[in-house]
Amino acid sequence: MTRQGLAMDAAIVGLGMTEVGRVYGRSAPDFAADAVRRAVADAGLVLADVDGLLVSSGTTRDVDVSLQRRLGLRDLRLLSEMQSFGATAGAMLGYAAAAVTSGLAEVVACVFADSPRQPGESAGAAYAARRRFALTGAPALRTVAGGNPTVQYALAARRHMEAYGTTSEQFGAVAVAQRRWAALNPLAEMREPLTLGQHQASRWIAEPLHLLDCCLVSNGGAAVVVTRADRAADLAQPPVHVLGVGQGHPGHPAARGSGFGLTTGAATSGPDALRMAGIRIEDVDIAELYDCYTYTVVVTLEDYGFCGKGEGGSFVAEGRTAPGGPLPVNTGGGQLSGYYMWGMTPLTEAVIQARGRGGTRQVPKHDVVLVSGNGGVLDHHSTVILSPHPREGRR
Amino acid sequence: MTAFGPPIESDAATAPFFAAAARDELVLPRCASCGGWYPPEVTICCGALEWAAAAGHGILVTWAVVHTAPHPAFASLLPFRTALVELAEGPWLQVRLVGPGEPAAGCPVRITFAHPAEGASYPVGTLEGP
Repeated sequence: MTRQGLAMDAAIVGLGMTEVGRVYGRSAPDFAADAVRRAVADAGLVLADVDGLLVSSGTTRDVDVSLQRRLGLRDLRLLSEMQSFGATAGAMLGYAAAAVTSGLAEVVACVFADSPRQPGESAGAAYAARRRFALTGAPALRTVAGGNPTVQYALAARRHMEAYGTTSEQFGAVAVAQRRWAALNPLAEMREPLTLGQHQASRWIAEPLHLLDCCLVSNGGAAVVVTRADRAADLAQPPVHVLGVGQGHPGHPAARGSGFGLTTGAATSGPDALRMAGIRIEDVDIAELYDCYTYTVVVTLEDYGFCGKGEGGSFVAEGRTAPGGPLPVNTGGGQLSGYYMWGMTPLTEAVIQARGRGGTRQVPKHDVVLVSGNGGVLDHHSTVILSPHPREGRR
Repeated sequence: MTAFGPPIESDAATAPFFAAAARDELVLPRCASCGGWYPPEVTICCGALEWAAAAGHGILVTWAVVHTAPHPAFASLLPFRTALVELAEGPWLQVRLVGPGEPAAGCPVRITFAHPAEGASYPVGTLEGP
């Protein structure tokens, strides 16, 4: 239970993104350093102002605390590598916000970078090439059963379909809605129009997941800079206040009664973050939801309470999350159509929207933006609630 | 049986599990203190875990049809079905589904065993009629 009255005094003041997508010939540490430099410059700060650095790796697993030396940072007061997979970006932001609130550090950069793609190689091949297969002991049972992350998500999606009647067409509606957003985003990799028919005709990867239910794989880096809200006022960008954060790691047992596929850590991290922010789910204007697969968006909408359990599919199919809908979701196209920077994908787009810098895709009302991160096979979850305004009652 | 997927091997913790699989028997960790049953990867409970004979059947929780080889050794065998089975004792086991039958949540599943020429024997699932 989040302590009553606990609140963050923190704001995102810098956003840095490298060129992202099919950008070849650069290592993940190189992307990471570039992203931090850009985020610091965006804030109107210099690297010497940074006294905290939190780093996280993607599939290449090679971004670590040596990034400090690559950036030439001296006398850091906070430095760590973090890993809860897709939940990491939101978690890092929470640690950074807590650090500046408590005085552990003043200016904390949080960065993610990955560089799995090679020229001429498919996204799936790039992802698979980075995986190590368990061939010994109990974990080998999953390998020999044909499991891998996509297959495990297919198992989760099928369980949701069997329990609630969710359909492949409803998953397709997620992909179609996000492509409509991506068409408006110059940063997005996939911007050509997409129909439900094209989604349904795309090949199976692991049924019930079609190719167009699966996210992209991208090279690149993204970083944010966090400092105290009072310091944010004097910097270069409009501050994006961190109103609330939460993590949820359900630890579903592989046994009778497990909620695998039915509920995620959003069910607990969401309420924790909302309580810290002092708002209700109805107050959220924009949701940037982790979308490794279309199904993930459906189950996450339910767990946050944007709709009832089992209603996520119809919620999206009714067009509620698409451009013009009452709850804009994944307004940059997400990881399905935009770019695959793990939890930095929803976080970066949330900062852009909260600043009001979304161009033709800008959502007019952007007072409260919710960001979700999801890691492992629905094992880890983070929630962040951002706003261009400080928390009510603070200043 | 022809090879299906990469060869796997036991480790110290799971040696009894794979030895039982070679004899077409399913064993699961069971707590000597509370009697709780666990999936093969669990190694800790309130008391010592002992390998105990399981009934070897359960129900289908969920399944997927794999069309893209998760490991190169599956490439020539696509598509195939993988499933999570809730064993009668409660633990879940992920197995490849072999044989005919249309899967649906709750379908009865019988655990049998694959004995590849190379590597350890391991459990697979067969859908049983209602």
